[in-house]
Amino acid sequence: MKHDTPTVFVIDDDPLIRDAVRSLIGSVGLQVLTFGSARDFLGGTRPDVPGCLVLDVRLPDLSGLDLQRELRESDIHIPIIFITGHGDIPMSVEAMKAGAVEFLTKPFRGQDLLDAVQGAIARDRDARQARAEIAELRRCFDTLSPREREVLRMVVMGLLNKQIAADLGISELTVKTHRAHVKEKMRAGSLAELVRITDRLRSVPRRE
Amino acid sequence: MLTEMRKSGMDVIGDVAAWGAHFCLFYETKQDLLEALISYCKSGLENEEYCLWIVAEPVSMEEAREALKDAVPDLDRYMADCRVEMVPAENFFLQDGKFNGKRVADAMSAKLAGILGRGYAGVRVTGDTSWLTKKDWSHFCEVEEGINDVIGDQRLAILCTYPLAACGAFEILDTVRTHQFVLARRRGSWVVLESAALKRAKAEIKRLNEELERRVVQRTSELMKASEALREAQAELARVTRVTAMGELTASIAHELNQPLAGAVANSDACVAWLSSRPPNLDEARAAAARTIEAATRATDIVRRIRVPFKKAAPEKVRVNINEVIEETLALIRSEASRNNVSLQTELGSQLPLVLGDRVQLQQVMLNLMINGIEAMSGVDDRTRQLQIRSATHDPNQVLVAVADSGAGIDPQVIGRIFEPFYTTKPQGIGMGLAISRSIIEAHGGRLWPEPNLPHGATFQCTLPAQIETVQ
Repeated sequence: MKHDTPTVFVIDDDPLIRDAVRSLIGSVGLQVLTFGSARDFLGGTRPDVPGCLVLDVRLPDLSGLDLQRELRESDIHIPIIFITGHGDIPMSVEAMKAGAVEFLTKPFRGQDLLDAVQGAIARDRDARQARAEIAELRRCFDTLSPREREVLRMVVMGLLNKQIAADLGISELTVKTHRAHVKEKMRAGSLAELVRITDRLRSVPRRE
Repeated sequence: MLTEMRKSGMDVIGDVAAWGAHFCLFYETKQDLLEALISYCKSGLENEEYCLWIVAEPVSMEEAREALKDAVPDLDRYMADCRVEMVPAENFFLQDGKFNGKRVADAMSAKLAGILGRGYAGVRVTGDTSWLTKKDWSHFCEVEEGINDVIGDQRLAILCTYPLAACGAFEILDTVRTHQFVLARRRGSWVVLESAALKRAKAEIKRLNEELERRVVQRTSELMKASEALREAQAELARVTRVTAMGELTASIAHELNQPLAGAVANSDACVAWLSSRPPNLDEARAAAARTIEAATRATDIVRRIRVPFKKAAPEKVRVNINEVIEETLALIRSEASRNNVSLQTELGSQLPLVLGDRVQLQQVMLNLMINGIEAMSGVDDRTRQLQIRSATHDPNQVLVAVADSGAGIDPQVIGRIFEPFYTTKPQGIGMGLAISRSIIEAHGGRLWPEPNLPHGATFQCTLPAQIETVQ
């Protein structure tokens, strides 16, 4: 298996559906892992590759919606495609609100499932990349000294070097030096880029 | 009222000579008179009846006896047995040559009472009036009228003969008035002239009879229609209840059916995909096709099971394995149970005897009992919702099925009413489930009753007679 071959996780207690979905997705060259219950899935190890989850809303142990909640609370980000036997609107609304990418009603067309899977994988790939970038930026941010962080905060607020120097009680030259370090450490080519990077960091609350 | 028809002995009288007939005859010749009276008396004697012939001019006692003996060869024996009596009119009607209406009426009543008391099949009397004079006419008419008042309920017929030549128009009118009907010789044959009152009475009786008959026919057909309608209504109600119970299950049946359908669609899509890949992967395609078949078979199975309870057919008794009926019903309610968080437990006896019954009806009972059990647990949150279905041999000749829930149980206050039609504790219920279930089980010769399920809930149990295999 290639390092980043996308993997689809299928959870369904009915072997007929499980095998059908495995076969269908396998036919387009995607890696498929199947599970009979939500607990089996949670208990197993998952390769760190782009992918998505295909699951029945009604599972014997933990319902699809409960699993979705549990994954979110464990900060596990994976797009979910729900399959349901009932055209249950309140339930599908709840699932979509909680971040499901697709809601298919049985019996579903094979192509619809494949389109949903491809869409979900693309989305996961983008999300993973975005998360990697944010992580990289945060790593950069973490290398800043406390004074450099203060300078960065004031720079992106639009204060002039003179104002920053006055506020912090340091020389304007020292401010310029900090600024240069900050730009270098944050790998920003311009002030505009620095502002954008900072916004992006702020948009994703840090989880410890 | 005696309506038994007598053979009068005179063809012309035919059936009109019922017991209680008081009629008269106008004759012109002695020949005609004898012909009529001989026939009348002969017929009576042949029917085990008593005959009293009051003889008068123009027939003498001798002539009367001779004529009757010609017609009835055994006359001497009848005479010896006192079955026939001939008396001269002068002796009967007159005393010292005088007519006294009251005396005659009393004498006649006493004589007839005596004869009737001897237990003959009946008594027929004939008397001639040629002795009657104008002076006594009106009194005699009173006697004739008096007869009409008492003759009705006796096994008695009285024929009075009048010489036509001696009767004027008034006498004829009186005679017709005082008798029920009149015989007369006209153009060589006897004809019957009925009085208007008798005609009316007969017509009225005929009308009443017809009316009665019409009403009986009408009521009978109304009753038959009503009972047919009732039977149809009962069958329809049973079907509606069945359909209603099934309707409650529609969502779960749809899910049950969607599952294999989804499997069939997805597997055939996969099959096509594997065949279209370059190069085609035949092993994967074959496996997907096999799963498609499996899924379609599963869907067919479900449809077959669902079709059964909806069928509108006359009940038919066949040998049924009750465990099969239970399994089929379980397949229908499985989703409903899981949707209500009810766990199903079965304890089905092995080697149960077969029962003789209607599969559809028995499935309906199982369906009702299981759905009731599931619904009875809808309010239970502090313990497991568990529906237990057991089957077993009960006594040697019975099969027992029990459906036990862990719900609230049955309120002892209402336990006597739960089998009443239209009694329900459910907001959406129509209250026919248990009533119909019990009538079905009883129609199969079994019993259905509730028992408390300890520590929680109720158990509905039914027994059905086992079909014992007869060894040839």
